[in-house]
Amino acid sequence: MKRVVVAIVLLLLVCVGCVVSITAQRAVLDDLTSQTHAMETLFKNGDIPGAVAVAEAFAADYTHSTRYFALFLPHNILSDIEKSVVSLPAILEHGEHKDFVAEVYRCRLLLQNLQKLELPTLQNIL
Amino acid sequence: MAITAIRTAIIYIFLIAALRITGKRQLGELQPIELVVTLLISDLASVPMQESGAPLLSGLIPIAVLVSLELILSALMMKSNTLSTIISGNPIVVIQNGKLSQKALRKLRLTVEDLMETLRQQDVFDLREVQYAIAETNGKISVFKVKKPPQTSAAVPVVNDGKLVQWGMEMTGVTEQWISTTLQKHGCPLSEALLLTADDQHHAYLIRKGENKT
Repeated sequence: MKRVVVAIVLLLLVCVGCVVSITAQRAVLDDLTSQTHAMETLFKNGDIPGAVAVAEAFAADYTHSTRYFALFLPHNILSDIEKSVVSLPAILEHGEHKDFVAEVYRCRLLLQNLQKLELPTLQNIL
Repeated sequence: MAITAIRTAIIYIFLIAALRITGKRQLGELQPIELVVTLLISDLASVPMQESGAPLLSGLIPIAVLVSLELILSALMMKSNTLSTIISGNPIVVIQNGKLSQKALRKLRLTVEDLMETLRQQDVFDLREVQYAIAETNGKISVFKVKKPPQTSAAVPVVNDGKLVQWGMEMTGVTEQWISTTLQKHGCPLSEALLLTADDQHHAYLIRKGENKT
């Protein structure tokens, strides 16, 4: 009987873990996506130093978040997004500004895909 | 490299805990579903060990879920005979009082040769020595022998499912002529013989196809 209790507790822990991970992932990715909008707006308004500051904060936030995401998300997907995230401040400071909006857009799409990746939808399950 | 070593150690400890929770049943006593779960667990554990790019939890969570479901299912099977029958099936009598149940063999998808081989591994060389042979739910065959004086020679198949068994013929020294005469004596053509056994003294034992449909 004790074993059955352990099994039920394990299953409950897994369920709680699933809910917590999905909720935390959604909250963090919403925040990161809004930062991409903010840096894009600043860039379009010509506030390059402001956009650089947001881009650097965005990169730092992403690195901090993925420390936990790496527990349950495939590392290669996180690594792909990281490549795009870390390139944003560099493009603003040293690269071609015309590439910035495209890179921000790409980064946002990758974040949105990541947000959908762990949702238990029929499409993802199958 | 250090990461792989540490991950392996973590998975090893987790596996010990998981197997400890599932209980002390030995491999030979596993039901088919338990064997499949054990193989699945070993496969799942190897993925995060080999691929450091995969999250450790992607291996540990499926193992935890499988072990939990396995435990809950086995607890439910203990409570419900119906569920136990659905999941594990029932033992099936394949030989009763020396008579072979061909219906049971078909149900088990077992050939006469498979059955004879299993019986020989249990020191039974003649179907008539068997009071009961029961195919257990874990795939083993339990045999209860008839109490009678020990035989001096073994009865081995010389015809199996309408075909001559060369090794049986060589072992007992019977010829095609003897088989043909014996079958004629019983009014049974070769194609209708499910099993014909013979021993060194050329004592025959015949089971026709469709006979003893119990």
